[in-house]
Formats: sequence, C-alpha cells, structure tokens
Amino acid sequence: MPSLHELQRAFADAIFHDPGVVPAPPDGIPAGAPMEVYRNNVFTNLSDGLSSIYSAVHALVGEQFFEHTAGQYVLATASRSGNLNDFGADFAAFLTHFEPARGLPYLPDVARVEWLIHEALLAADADPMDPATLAELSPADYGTIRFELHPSVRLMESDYPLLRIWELCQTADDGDEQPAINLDEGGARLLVARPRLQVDMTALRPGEYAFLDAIVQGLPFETVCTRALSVDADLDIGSTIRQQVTEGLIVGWCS
Amino acid sequence: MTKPPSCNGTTQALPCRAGIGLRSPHYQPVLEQQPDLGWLEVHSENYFAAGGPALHYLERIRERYPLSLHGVGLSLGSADPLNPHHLDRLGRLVERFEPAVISEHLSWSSVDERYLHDLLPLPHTREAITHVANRVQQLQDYLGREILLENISDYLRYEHADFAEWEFLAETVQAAGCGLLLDVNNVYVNAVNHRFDPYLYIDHIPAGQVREIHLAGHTLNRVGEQELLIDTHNRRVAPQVWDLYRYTVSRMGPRPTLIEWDADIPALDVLLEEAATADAIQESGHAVPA
Repeated sequence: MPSLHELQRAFADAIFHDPGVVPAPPDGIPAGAPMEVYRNNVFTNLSDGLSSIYSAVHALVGEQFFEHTAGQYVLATASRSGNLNDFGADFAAFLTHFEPARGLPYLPDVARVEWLIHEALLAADADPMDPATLAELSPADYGTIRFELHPSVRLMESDYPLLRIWELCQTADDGDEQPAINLDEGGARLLVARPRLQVDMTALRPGEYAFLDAIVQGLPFETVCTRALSVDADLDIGSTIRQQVTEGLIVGWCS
Repeated sequence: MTKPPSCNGTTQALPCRAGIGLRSPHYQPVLEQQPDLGWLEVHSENYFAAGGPALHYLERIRERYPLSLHGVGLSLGSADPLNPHHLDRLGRLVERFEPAVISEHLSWSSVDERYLHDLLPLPHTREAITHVANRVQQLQDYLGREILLENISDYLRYEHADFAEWEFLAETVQAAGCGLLLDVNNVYVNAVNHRFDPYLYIDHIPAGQVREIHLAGHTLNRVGEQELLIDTHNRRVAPQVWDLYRYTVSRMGPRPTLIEWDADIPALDVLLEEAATADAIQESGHAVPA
C-alpha cells in the first residue's frame, strides 16, 4: 500500500501528464477511476484564474487559442501558492517563447501590463497626502526629500501602442467595427495605479515618466527634477507634483 | 429583525439561520439592499491581498453581518508541511475581520509544493486521520481557536480504505478536536456516485460537533461510460438534497446553513430565495421527531 505522500505524488503525476499520453493508473488508484474529472477541474481552475487576470490577452487571441496556451503554461509552470491570485506571474515571459504566438510580437507586453494591473488591484492601500505638510519644510531642504508613491504604482515602457491595444480589448465584445491599430505608430510609457478602488492606466509624457521613475528608484527630489528636466526641459515640476498629490499617486514624503 | 434561535450544543457566534456565500458580483447589491440574512461566508484566499476593493467591500459588509471564513487552499491533507506563508496570511485575515467561524476542507490540494487548486480526496485510512488531525491541531494552535472541517465531494475511491467515508469524517474530527462543517450536498453527491445510503451517513455524524451546514447545486455529467453527479455549485439546491437537509435538521436541530453558489452566479434575489427555503425548514423542521 502506497504511503499518503506516494499516493498524492502519483495522483499529481496522473493530472499533469502531456495531453495525448495516457498514463498507467497510479498505484493505489483503481483502473477506470475518472481521473479526467480531476484533470479537467485542475486545468479549468488554473486556466480560469489566468483568464481573469489576462482578459486582454484572452480577447486578442480568442477562446480556443487562449485555452490551449493556458493549458501549456499550466503544464510548464508549477503553482507554488494555495492562493490562485499568485499564479501567472511569468505568463508574459512564457508567451515570449511560445512558438504559436510568434505572429503577435506585442502579446507579451499586453500580458506584462495585465500582471501590473493585477498587482495594482491587490496592492496595499494608502491615504492621500495632505499638501500642507510640505509647508513645514524650509525651501533649502526641498532638494533632499524623497517622495513616497502609492503602493499600487507601476510603470512600464513598451515599443507598442499598448494603451490603444488594451482599450480595444475592453470593447472587443461590443460588436462595433474596431479602428485598426498601426503597430508602428510608436511605443507607450504607461502608469498603472489604483489610488482608490479602481485601477487606472494612463499614458505619460516622457518627462512625467522620468519624474515618477526616479521617485520609484527612491532618489532625492533634486535628482528627480534633474532626471525629469533632462528628458523634458519644459516640464512644469510644480504642477506635476500638485497633480500627483491630488490624484493620490504621491502619498507622502520623508526627509 | 427578530432574534435568531440559539444553537443547541454549539458555542460559536453564527446565528442559527441561513447565510449566503458572498462573491464579488454581490458586494454592491448586499450593501445597498442589506437583506435580512443571518450571516455571510467568503473564501479566505480571495482576501489575502494587502489592500484593494475586495477588502474594502468586506470591511463594509463585516460592519453589518457576522462573517465566516472558508478556506479552499490550505491543503490540510497534503503530505507537505503546512505552508507558513499561507498560515501567516490567514492569521492576519482572522485578526482583521474577527470571523465567527473559520473552516477548511478534509482534503488535499498540493504535493511536493505544487498546488493543484482543487479539493482532492484523501484515502480513508488511519494514516490520513492521524496526519490530518495533527495538522488541524497545528492550525488551531496557530490561530488560537477552533476550526471546522468540511466533507468534500469526490469522484474516486482509492484501492485501500480502513473506513467508510462517514467513519473517516467522524474519526478525523474526533481525533483533531475540531468542529464539523457538514456539506449535505456533498453527502448526496457521493452517495449517488459511490452507491451508499445518504441517510445512513447522516445518522453516523456526531451532531454535537456540527457547527455549520452547506447546501449547493450539483449537475449530472456523463464521464466516459459513467454517469456522475458533479458538485458544480452553479444552480439551485436539488429537491433530493432539500429532503436530506430536512432529515438532517430533524435529527440535529437547526444549524447555521450556507447557500453556496460559485459559478454562473445569479441575481442576489435567487440566493435570498434559497436562503429563505433553508430558514423555513429550520423553523418547522426541528419540531419533527427524528
């Protein structure tokens, strides 16, 4: 009689076999046991989890292609957590090397941004900053403070018009004729954040992106400004800060 | 709202009324309508995040209803050690929401640190009872309070078994020193699939340990040569399961009873109707002699 550990290992092996290969019934499990019920449950649960995170990838490739891709990913990628929300972090990397998706070079970037949206949704909350706290500072100290961003803030650069692709996917079920997207129209610098309940995705101008990126790196305000102004000499630093405080993206500072 | 009847022999704080499984499509309707429900139950793992809308809504709902946390991913029956990260997140959730009840499944869902995300059957052996009892004790020590173990639906029986399923369930709960969450739909589904008498099963359950009951819908599927009832949680409770529930209530008295619905989720009103049916059975049923 197999031990509990041996039985569970044999069970898992019978679930995660390559499709088309019928494994011998595992030791301890009777021949003819409906293992396909379990195989179907396991693959459906994991695949549905991926589909809810990667809804734009799903919309772009369609039901059948997504199911096949998800099935291959599930076989190749062990889930290491009992929380389904943790599964799928490297789906974008998988797609980069997934031969059937080679014709859609922007697909991994769509997956990348969807994982950032997923992370933003689950990130810690933070109260907005009271701008009056900045008044405590003497202007001589401005250069050394470090701003703190909302925990959900994520930045991403892409060579593709990612925001337009993503927006197209959100309306893919409407049945309206969709405008064509020219993949060569230029890349995108995106901000993904959930300052309140809803995740927002925004296209940033190069200077704004450099500004936030420097804050993400934990740099002092003087360096943040130098980086941002080297990209866009016309960036209005004062109004950029006010806007980001108002939107709940900058949530604090420390000296 | 009338005061719910007390539950004989139980010490937990869930009222002896029907509750519903709360899923995200019903956050807004529940907050807007504030229906007259005894309590609500959620899947613990859906609230493991650091922040965000799910926790936001649960906070508001918790202000208005008693809460039950129902885990689907701890993998109590796994031969692996308990996952410390999972325990940590569950512990924090319990601390934050102070649920009336915490439950897990008598099943396993991971091996060699790979998760299958399904409630998989344990062999009905002495080894499995000892193993699960030990881990339930670890969990109860960690949380500092009692948990409930739920019987699952399963679609195969291993070649070797020391116990019938109801003996396995009762012995495990006894050895672990925990409460029992009796899923009446799972009893019925297994009785049909494995050809035993579901009423006999209910007769063998230690009523004093039953702190909660689950009810859900199932589906008849053809799998290869076999017809199997599958625990799909995507429709109303079947008439045969209501009959078995009536019998259970007549034997045990009223218990906090949950309507579970996890797929093809209907309008809130449908769940409220099912909950009202359970409440009506509890109000009349326990007067009927067993």
